[in-house]
Amino acid sequence: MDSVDEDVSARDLLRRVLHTELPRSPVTRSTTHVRRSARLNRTPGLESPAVALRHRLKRKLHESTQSPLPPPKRQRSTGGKTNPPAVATPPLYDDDVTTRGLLRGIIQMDTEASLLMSGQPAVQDADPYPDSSVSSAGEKTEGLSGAELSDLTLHTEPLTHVVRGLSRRKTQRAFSVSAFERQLDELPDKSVEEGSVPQEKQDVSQDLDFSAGSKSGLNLTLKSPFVEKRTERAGLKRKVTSRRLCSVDVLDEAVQKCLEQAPLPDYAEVQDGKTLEDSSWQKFTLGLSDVTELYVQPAASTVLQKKDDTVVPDAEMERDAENEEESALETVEEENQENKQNYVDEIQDVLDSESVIQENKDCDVELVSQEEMVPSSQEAEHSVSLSPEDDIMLAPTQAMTESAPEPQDVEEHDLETEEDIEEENGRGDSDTSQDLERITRRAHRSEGGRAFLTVPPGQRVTKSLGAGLNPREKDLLELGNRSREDVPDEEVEPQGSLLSPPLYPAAGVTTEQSPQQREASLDGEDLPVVEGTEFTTSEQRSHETSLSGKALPDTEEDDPQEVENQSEDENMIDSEPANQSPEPHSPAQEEEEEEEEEEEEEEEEEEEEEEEEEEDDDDDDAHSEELSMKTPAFVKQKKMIASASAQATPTVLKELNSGPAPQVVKRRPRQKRETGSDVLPKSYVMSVFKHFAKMKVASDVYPVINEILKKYFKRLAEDLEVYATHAKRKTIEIEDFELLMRRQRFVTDSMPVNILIEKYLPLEYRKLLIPVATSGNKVVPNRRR
Amino acid sequence: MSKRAPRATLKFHMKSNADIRIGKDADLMAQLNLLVVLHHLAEESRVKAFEEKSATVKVHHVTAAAKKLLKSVRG
Repeated sequence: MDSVDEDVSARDLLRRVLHTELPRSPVTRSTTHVRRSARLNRTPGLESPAVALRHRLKRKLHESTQSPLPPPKRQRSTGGKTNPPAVATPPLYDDDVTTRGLLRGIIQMDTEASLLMSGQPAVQDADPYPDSSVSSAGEKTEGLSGAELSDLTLHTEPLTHVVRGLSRRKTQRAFSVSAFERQLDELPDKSVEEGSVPQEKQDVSQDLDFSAGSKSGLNLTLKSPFVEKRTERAGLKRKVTSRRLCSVDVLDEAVQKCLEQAPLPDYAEVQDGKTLEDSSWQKFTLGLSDVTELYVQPAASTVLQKKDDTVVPDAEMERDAENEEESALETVEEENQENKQNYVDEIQDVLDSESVIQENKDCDVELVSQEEMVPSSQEAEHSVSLSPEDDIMLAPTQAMTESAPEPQDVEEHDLETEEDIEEENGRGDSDTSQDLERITRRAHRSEGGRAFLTVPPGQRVTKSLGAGLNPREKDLLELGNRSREDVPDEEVEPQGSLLSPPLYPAAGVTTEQSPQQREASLDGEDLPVVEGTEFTTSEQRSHETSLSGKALPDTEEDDPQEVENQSEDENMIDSEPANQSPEPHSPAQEEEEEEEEEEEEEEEEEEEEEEEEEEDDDDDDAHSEELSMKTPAFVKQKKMIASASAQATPTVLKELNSGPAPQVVKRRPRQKRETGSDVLPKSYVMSVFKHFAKMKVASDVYPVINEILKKYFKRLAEDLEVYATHAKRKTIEIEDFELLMRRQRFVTDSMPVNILIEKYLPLEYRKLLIPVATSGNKVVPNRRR
Repeated sequence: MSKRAPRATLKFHMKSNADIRIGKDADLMAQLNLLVVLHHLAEESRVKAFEEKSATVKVHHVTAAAKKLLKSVRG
């Protein structure tokens, strides 16, 4: 009865207290902790929140009504029984007993706070307590308390948590997290969760009650902004993906188009036509940067053209133009082919190479398309542009940059870029037209027009294939060589024209032979290929061409432009007579050379002769090797030729003499050095000496030191042997050395051996020499003594 | 300096007589000996160079120092 009255009054009191007092959950807890610790020996933390409230209630009850004492006494036992974990002291319960509900409510409040943290339902559940007007109170804490008061069953779990006090906070925090998660799940916007979760957590950590009450409101507020942000981000993301998708489709279309055009032979020729510009291309290839720059320009243009539709039709247009150009080229080539009968074999080779080239080009086209696909994806910037052609164009640029180190790749890119360029609006047409013009010019200049025509495509193809198969390269190289020949032809028109056809086969042979050789200069590549082709056709021709071709590669290496021209011219000149007279190459070549000398510059001839002669010396062996290897020989020859050409000896004899000389010279010094007996490696000795000298040491002192060490070791060995024999042993041991050092005054009474060991020897050796005691009563190393 | 002389070479040099045997890790002592000798040689050379007021050690410095050293290092 009293309790009832007291309860009512207690409730009122509690309400008043709650109203008047600000949420002091943390403070109360701390106070309660202190009090608890002072009063109760049990877990103070658990009771803090509830205890604090109880204390307040007690005081107020006492102040207001002095009745609470008896009821609390009664309920002590009950309270203790009911809430053993929650409260340790019965008096505390008395306050709550003013009602269990109050206490529980308080506890529930705390728990609810945590519950709120964990989930809103707790708060919601607490809200609908009609009994507690407190819940309706404006203050959130009060409301919570009221809710707690009303619901006792729901808060069983939270009670324990609440009792824990400090732990509550932690648990509440945890709950808060879970609560946040739950809330987030409930909420449609997940983005808000992230934002709300941290915020909620923060609130929880600070003031559970506060946060608990305001969480609902905070959550709502927190959510809104985050949602907006997330949506924005999502939008951005969507945009990106959409763009990529478009690009892929466009790429597919572009690829199909490329494939359609690939089988066309004209396409290859068109590429060749582009290669006609190789004179410039070659120069570019030498400078990878230049090539990349070239491609960058088209790429930039492509990037500008960010519209797939516009680009696609343009590509189509360009491709059509290319086809037309290719056809024109073909006709020209055909005409040239018919002109020369002597070069039937060559023609066959060329045709074969052409076919191969075409095939290769088809493959290349595919590869190009593939490459384009890949680089396009890689290029973030370009991908944004999202134009299949752009991607394709970009791809070649990327491929260019990537393959920059590889000249062949660069060449390929050139081809690809050329193609792409053609595809580009306007550019391709202009380029192709220019190519056609150049091709025609070259054709006119040289009777072996077909050779020229075939060569340029070959170059291109080879270059593009450079990354690909060697056999293709060989064929391509042939073509490339021919194209190269075209280049020099331009420089030396009169001479080249006549000699061009025969030179081409030679060039092709040379180029073929050195397909494997990857040199910065295209010429080197082309020439070896040309040479290789020659060999396949006829040995004689191969010899001739190889000689000339070798000269070409060698010369080309030295001066890609000049040498090429010269070598090519020479090759052409030589090849012509060689082809015409399959008899001994040397005489024909010599004759040719003589003629050439008269006609052409002496330097060129000399180079040729030198190259040829050098090649002859090496060729005999090289040819056989070339046939099989087709690259190392050329490289060697090229190097030889290069060195010889650099000297530019006027007479053939000198050249001949100079050829073998360098080889011999190289070998001699090596032999001499090898025979020299070095006591110890020079590096080691000098480094040690310099370290000890702490001064600059002339490097020429090494021989002197060597001699000294020789004498020393000799003496050392004798002494050691004597010592060992004295000890009636047949092996030299460490003891012998110790004795030696003592006699040498290196080791004295004041300088024990171990000290020296520590001083001079590296750690690993020290371990071996100096016994070290290890675990297990072991001494390492074992001492025989 | 963490340089190491090739142990095989040292073993070879220690065998004045082909029949003689080299004990285990004895060549390490040879290395030690070598280092000590080189050290002495370098020191002497440095002194000699310093006497001639030259910043670098020249050949004649080393030769002169070696002469003196070889006499002293006599087991």
